[in-house]
Amino acid sequence: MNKMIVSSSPHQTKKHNTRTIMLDVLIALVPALIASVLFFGPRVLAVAVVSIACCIVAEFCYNIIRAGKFDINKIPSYSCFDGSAAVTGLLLAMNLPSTVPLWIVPIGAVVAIVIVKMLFGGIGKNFANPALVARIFLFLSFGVVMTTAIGTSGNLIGVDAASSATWLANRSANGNLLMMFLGNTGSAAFGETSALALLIGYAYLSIRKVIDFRMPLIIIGAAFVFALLFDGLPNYQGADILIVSVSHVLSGGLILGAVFMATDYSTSPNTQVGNIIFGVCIAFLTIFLRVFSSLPEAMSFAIVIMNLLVPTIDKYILPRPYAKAKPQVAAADVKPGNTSPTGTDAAAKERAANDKPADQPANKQEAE
Amino acid sequence: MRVSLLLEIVFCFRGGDLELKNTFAKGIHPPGMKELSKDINITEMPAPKTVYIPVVQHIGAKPEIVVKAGQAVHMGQLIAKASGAVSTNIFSSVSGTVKPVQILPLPNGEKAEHIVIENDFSDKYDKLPKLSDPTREQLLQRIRDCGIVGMGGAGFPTDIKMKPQKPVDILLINGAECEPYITCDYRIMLEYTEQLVKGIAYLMKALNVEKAVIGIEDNKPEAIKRIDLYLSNNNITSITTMPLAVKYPQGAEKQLIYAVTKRKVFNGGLPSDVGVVVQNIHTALSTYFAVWDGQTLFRRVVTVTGGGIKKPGNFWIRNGTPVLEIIKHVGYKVENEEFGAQKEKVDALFSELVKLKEDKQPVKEKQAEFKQEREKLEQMQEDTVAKVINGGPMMGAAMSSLETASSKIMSCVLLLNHKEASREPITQCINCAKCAYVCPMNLMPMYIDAYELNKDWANAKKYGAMDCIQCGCCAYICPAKKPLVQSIAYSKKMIKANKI
Repeated sequence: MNKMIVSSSPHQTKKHNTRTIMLDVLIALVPALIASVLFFGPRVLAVAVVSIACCIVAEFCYNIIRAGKFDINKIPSYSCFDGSAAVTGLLLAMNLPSTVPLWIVPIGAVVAIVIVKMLFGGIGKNFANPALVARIFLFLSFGVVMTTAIGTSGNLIGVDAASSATWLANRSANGNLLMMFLGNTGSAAFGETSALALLIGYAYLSIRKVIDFRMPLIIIGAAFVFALLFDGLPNYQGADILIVSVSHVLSGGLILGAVFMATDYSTSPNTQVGNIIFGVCIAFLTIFLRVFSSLPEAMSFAIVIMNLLVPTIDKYILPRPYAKAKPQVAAADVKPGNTSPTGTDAAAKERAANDKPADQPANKQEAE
Repeated sequence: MRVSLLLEIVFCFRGGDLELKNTFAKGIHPPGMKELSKDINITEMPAPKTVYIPVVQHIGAKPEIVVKAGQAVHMGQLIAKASGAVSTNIFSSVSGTVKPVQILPLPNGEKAEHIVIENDFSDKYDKLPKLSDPTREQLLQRIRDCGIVGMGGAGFPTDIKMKPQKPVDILLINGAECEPYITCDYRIMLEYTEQLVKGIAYLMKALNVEKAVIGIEDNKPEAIKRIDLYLSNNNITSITTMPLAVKYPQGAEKQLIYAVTKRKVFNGGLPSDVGVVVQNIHTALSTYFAVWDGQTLFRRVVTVTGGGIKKPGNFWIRNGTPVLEIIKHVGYKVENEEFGAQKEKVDALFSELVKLKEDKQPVKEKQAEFKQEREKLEQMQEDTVAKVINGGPMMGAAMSSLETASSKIMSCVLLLNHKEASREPITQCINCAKCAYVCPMNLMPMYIDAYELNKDWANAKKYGAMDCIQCGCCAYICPAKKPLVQSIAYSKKMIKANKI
């Protein structure tokens, strides 16, 4: 008797999985990493490697503790090898200053991986972006260490980028837009400087269909509009308005957050309208907090605040049903059969035969 | 660039395609795999020695068997009579002697009665009288008498569909053939163009409409050209073709209706609610043969294909041909004794290796032997059938037994070898929402799946489980390889059972 493999349809799936998607995100971050090395020096690589290693090790330890016993055959299926820990590690590294003392990185890794992601159920269940929560935690807990760490360790080209203060420290219309676009400017985190490199990563992710290309555009566009409204129009005149608004977009973690953090799968809404609301609110919050609060850089706070609101957005914003049902539906004269083949005809007619009497007892009684 | 198009691109809620001109919203683009069989002419597959004709090849009540064991029948003779309005006639596909009824599995796994007929290879043919200028009533009666059902795969009796409850103004012919691998409708459009168009004309008369549109996907330009040529040569204006964007599931009823007429069939409704009736290409062809030549429906064009088989093709296959015969005809192998012996050898070597490792003995030469034997097994696996699918890879049903027989609604037999049939392990949902992004019915499959795993049927229904057309787009694109269609189909069953 021949034994055939039997499984449910569909029998062929697209050739991607969680690991290839995470690999694509890592590849998209490589241009930004290269730009950081050029502007901040090779220490950036050390921070990145330590961060990725700590994140993977943290998740691995958590997996082992949860597994209870040490079974060497089960290890390849542990969740630490599916690439998401590596992505979190690299994003966390890009959110730190280039001369951050290396002992801070494992603390950030544990917060990001264990507290934000694994304790809540692992991949797909984190309540906020792990790298951003870790960044906020580190900046709040080790504030002095972090702000004095903004220095340089010998960059390879151009002016002493990291030793100059970020544009956000004292906003003006004198920001050199080209330098900000290329990345040759000071910043609190080394991953945020080069808008050009981040946009290359954005193009790669859009082409590979890992993210929806509209989301970052909406965030950046809305941020530009809000920067015009909150900072440009009230405070400046003439061409300075536009210069300041563009400077807002190009500085801080806006582009990094828009492309890599706000599009993170598990912490963004599941519908397109939800994503638009999410993006606009992020842009609003970040510019609002930048201009009217004492925080120089607010993108991470904005994203985390909106992450916390995503379950609410998902609860109330659902896609429109394909077509609304008409109020009166005549019961079809189809009798249910003995077989149940799959297919749209079968489903529709079976439903018409089976559901109408059950769904609308009032109508049937009326008809009778 | 038009401002409206720009706005639509930026704020487009439609996910996927930017222009909805000749298509619907969302959906996926699986690889077509049609090159395997789309250029192969339809040939006749020789009738097998014994046919096992399933009594249930349609939607509706089971027909009554009207022949007894030992009776002699001709090809095309009635062997099971329709019982009730929603039922269909079954006809013998060979001439020979009837044997006792057997219970065999259907493609979906259920067991059903099969009428067994032993072929005497004389092919004595019984036909009904030809109709030359039939009236609507005569057409409907002939469609019923010849057992025509929806041959796209559902098998709903065509004569009932041609008498809809609501007024209808357009007949849509489904030439989309969106499922990968299947090419039978395409070959019919190329080789039987004249008969197809005449069959459509008969269907229009039976339905009493004046307009018919054949929706054909863009990847079949030859078919569109040939049909257009025939229509213009004969000055037929009531039938037109409409090229559609290549997307899956373009051929699904609701999506096809929207793409051609921009009318939306509401969830739980029928196409006739919006004034449309949809029929398959093969149904139209069989209608022509039934009316013009009196042929009853006992055979159909089937695509037999798959990555590994040597001679894929499109064949006229008689109803009741066992799948094993079909596999043998295209030169594919099934697991025989040699294969079984090799598999056992490999398994035995593997367990020996494990034991040696535990006892800390040298494993080098055993490992080399194991590797060699396993390579030999993989070689044999390349042209051995591991999975047989009735239909395409997206919506087809995997058959568990090779005793299953072909029927009026089996449009494709997809043979996959071990490598093609292997599945990736299921991992945790990463909440990427790609499934919601591609669902053509605007559902949220990840929520339905989550509620199904928690047995919360009311919430599963709230997120649209009953509106699912089971097209497979969600499970196709899921990066975590979750079996979403299976989950939603199970929810449907439980919702109905619990009467929620």
